[in-house]
Amino acid sequence: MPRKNNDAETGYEEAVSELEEILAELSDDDIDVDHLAERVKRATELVKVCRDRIAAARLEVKDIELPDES
Amino acid sequence: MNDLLAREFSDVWVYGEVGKVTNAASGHCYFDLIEDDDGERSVLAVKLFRGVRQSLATKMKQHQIDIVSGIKVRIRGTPDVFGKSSSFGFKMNDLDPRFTLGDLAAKREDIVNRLKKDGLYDRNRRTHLPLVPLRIGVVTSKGSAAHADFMKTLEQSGIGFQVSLCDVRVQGDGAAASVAVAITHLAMRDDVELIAVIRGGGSKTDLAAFDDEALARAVALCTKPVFTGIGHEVDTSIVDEVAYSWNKTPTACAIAIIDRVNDFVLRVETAAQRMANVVLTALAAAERRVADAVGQLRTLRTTVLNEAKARIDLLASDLKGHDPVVLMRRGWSITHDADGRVLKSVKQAKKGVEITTRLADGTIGSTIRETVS
Repeated sequence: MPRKNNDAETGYEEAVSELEEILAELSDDDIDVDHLAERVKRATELVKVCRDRIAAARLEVKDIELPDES
Repeated sequence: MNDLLAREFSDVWVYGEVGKVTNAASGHCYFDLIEDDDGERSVLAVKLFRGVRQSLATKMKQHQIDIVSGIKVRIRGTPDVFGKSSSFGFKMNDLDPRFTLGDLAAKREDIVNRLKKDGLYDRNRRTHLPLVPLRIGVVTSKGSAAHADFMKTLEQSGIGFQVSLCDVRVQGDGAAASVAVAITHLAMRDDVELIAVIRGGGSKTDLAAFDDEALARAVALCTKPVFTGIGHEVDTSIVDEVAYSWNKTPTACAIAIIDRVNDFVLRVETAAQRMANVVLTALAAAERRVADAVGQLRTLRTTVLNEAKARIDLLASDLKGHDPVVLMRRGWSITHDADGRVLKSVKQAKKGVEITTRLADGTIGSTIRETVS
């Protein structure tokens, strides 16, 4: 998957997909150990992106006042 | 002479058609009894004295018979010679009602059959009755009780009827023709939607005008629906039979017209109510859907985010299992040869070759002394 220059532009779904892709790579026995650290670093960044997105969404949603159900 | 007649001809029954009738102020009634035998016309002057008349009153009332011109009667009495001119006459003392009624019934049947044959019997009932007949043409005797009852009932309904009156004779000579002309006249008017023919109660013979064939034809051929209210409780007249709607009394006739209007009002009100109910039900359903959606949104906005978080946590923990730094901290290491290739098998290791082992916090350089597989 092409990497975005700035993670701020990466969508949540995109980030999760990339993260899952990396994890699938890491589970492969033929993983190039030299790239291992770099892939893990990228995956860690993506985890942060996803968590930040979720936290931001939680705050945003919390601020929305829902109408009464009646 | 009278003694002889009384002796020889007392209590004889004679029959014929009633011609001219004179009701005297004294209470006596004089009428002509006519027999028309192939153009040969015989007339008998009949005297119905007050006393006999009173004694017959109950019977005549019971059978709704009056001595009126045009009806057939079978009467009992005695011939006599009267006065200075010695005029020959007949003193009536009884009447056979079955004869008159039978004749009326037979005449009626003939007329009804002719109307049916000519396709007129149901003709008026096929005319168009407006949903809201408000412009009523009334055929009656102006100022009669029937007229008053009819108008009062219409007024009490509170509906804005517009009434056009045709004042007619409703009994006696010329009554049928007068009513027929009035109906034909009203039918041609643009401001009349329905014609009401009304009159108060009367004897069967009194109401003979409404069994008249020409009048019945006028009603049948009338282009507007004709409602009748001809006051008689028991039988219907031929006019009633061919009318769009027949009613026992003028009041009942007015009620039938009011009912027609009220039926429409009720239908409109019911339809409006039904429509309102449909709208209210639809709105209530829409409101429920929105409320359900709000409820779902309330739940989902947290569950969706919680599920997303759980998914990321799982991926993060999976990632940790693959992080070489973490593994190295636990004691795992990676060994490269001099060319930087990772040693994955002892077959790659050769005695005396220098290798580098990477640990969590640095590297160790060593030389292979021996390999064991």
